Amino acid sequence: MSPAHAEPTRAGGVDYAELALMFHAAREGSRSAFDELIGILTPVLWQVARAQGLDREHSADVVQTAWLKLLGSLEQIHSPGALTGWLITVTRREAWRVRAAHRAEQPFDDLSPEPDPGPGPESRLMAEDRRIRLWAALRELPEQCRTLLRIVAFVHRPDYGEVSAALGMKKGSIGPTRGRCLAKLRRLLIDSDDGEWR
Amino acid sequence: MNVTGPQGGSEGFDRLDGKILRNVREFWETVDPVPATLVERIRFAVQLDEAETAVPRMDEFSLLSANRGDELSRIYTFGCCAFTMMMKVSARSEGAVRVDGWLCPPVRLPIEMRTAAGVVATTADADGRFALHDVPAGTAQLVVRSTDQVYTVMVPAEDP
Repeated sequence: MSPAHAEPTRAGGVDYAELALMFHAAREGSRSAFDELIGILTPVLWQVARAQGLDREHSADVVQTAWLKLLGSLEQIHSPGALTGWLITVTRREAWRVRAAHRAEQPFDDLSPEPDPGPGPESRLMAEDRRIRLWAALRELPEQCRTLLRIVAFVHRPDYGEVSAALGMKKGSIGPTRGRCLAKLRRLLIDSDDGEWR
Repeated sequence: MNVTGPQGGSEGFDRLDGKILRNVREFWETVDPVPATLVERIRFAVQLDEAETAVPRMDEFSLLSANRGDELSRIYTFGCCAFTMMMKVSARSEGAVRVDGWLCPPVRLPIEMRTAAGVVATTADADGRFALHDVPAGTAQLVVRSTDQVYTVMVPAEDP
């Protein structure tokens, strides 16, 4: 791996140019680029699976299955956006299939965040406090908005078109829908807190 | 905060929107993080030597019968291009399972079960039968190599 990629990138927190670079290198057959793609795109797929209501264990399996299915299909995918869309589509479909298979056995938790790992230093308490207020605001949103923002927060803007389609939304509608959902969330945050969001 | 997120654009997206969206992302990263080992596990699973060659998808599998009475095993079938595979997973010991399989039509082929804990390999015999006695439990990648193709599918190698 070249030094340029050696710096640990936050899951998915890389710029779009790097995603594009890795995509093209992976299509040329670069194993390390493919590994990079896995690091970049797994976080959004994880949120997609979890937002479908799957538990953590099944979500991990579903995301892994999506990547394995990609092995035979990468040649037919021509842009980073199409790749993101393809993976989201397969993850949703797999999650749906797994959930249907298990529905009879046990209900999955509906979107309940896991508890935080214990208290920490004061700065972390502040962060936790902000998180609690954000969660309170997110809960006020219609579920569709909450889920959309959850996924869109992990997606690069140039990929919105393909991601709309992958989420079963009309092409071009994700931007405006995101705008409406963000506006609602923004209002809730501004109404509910101490000025941080102004 | 040093996250490059979606950029601003035509829908009146401003700095505060960007901040909110980054916070939404951080929120989910904190309360529902990707499991620490998942990315490594996936990298391992896709690392077939033949990754550059076509890998046909063997993605249709179904539970044929599960936990009949006290018989603690599960049978899975895999339909694919050149052959059909049947696989039975039974409990072995804490954290491990035994896998018995049949290839139909019978064919002598190398079989691998790849798990996060390592690779267990064997070869199907002339009757197309194979057995892996000690497979670490968990999701595994089953790999069957024929002369010109590699077949791979994710299987639940779970203690039934």
